[in-house]
Amino acid sequence: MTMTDAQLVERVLAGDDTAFALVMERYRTRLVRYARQMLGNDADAEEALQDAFLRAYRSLARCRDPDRLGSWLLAITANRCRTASRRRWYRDRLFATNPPDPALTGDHGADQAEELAWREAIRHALARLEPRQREAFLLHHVEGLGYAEMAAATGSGISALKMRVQRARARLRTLLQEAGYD
Amino acid sequence: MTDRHEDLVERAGETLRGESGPPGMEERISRRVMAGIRDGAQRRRPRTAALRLGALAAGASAAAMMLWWLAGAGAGAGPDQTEPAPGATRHRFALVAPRATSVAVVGDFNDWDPQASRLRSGRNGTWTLELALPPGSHRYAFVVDGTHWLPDPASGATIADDFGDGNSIVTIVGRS
Repeated sequence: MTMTDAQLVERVLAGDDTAFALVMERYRTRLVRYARQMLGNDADAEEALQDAFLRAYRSLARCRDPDRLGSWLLAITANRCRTASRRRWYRDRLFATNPPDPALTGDHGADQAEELAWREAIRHALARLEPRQREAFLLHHVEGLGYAEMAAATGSGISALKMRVQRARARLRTLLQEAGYD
Repeated sequence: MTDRHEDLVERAGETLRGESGPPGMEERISRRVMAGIRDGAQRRRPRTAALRLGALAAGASAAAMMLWWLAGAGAGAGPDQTEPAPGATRHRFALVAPRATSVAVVGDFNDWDPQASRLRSGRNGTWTLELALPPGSHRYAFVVDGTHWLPDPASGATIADDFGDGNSIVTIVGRS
């Protein structure tokens, strides 16, 4: 029988560390996706997520609503990504050191090449958004958070978040059009 | 035209939702975290001391709920469809943009939704719209052709937003 989030949290707090492995298994796909898209760099995403999981483990007793563990973990991950993107050393190589997607360099059929080019266009467009616009867009449009949840996760006001999402949408639309899509 | 462009962003979102990490990345993260937990340097029982993030999240959540309440919980409800708030005053937005095909006004009062408050084209390329705004200061900007955001050139009050772009400010004085 699948354990609920609250049951997993209870087991970890009782000293069963293996339950935390189950927590990670449950949420890591979503959190890896967010960190990669937010930071645009696999190595930094991996580091940020490891840090986020360790912090979550150490702070699990402070998770006020274990039934909403996923949102709590996403908030911690978003916080770690924000810290990472503020660092100068990170900014200097933001999106510059990620090698081209290996899938782009192979020999592919026309349909697959078109799909890969589309993904690359999105990646470049995301990279050109301001970090807070990118964060708001990803949390809302990709991770499906409502504005109240986003406010709790980021500490920003709801109106500011709505503005960021709309600006991000407009900017993405322009960038994708410039890349030849309509 | 607008719908197709909106669809472009939705398609991008759908593509992003379908993405996952490179092979082995998730498992590697789990292994390293579990090693960190087992490691004496990392090993601490989950603490009962106050967690700054938890406190921040709770505070922000309370603030967000208050903002939500103050805003009338009206996400997506444009001012055109709602009863004017008590003390609301009609304010006329105007922009001269002869070459524009559409102009909208976005701001704190309509959730920054470009679809909510469209201006109407008039003489000499002037676009106008009157909205009933509650007392207080409101940030706003115009959206031209669905894409270009710009502050109101006729407004003397402009404030940079998070990204250095300008928003204008209109202040509505309450009626006594």
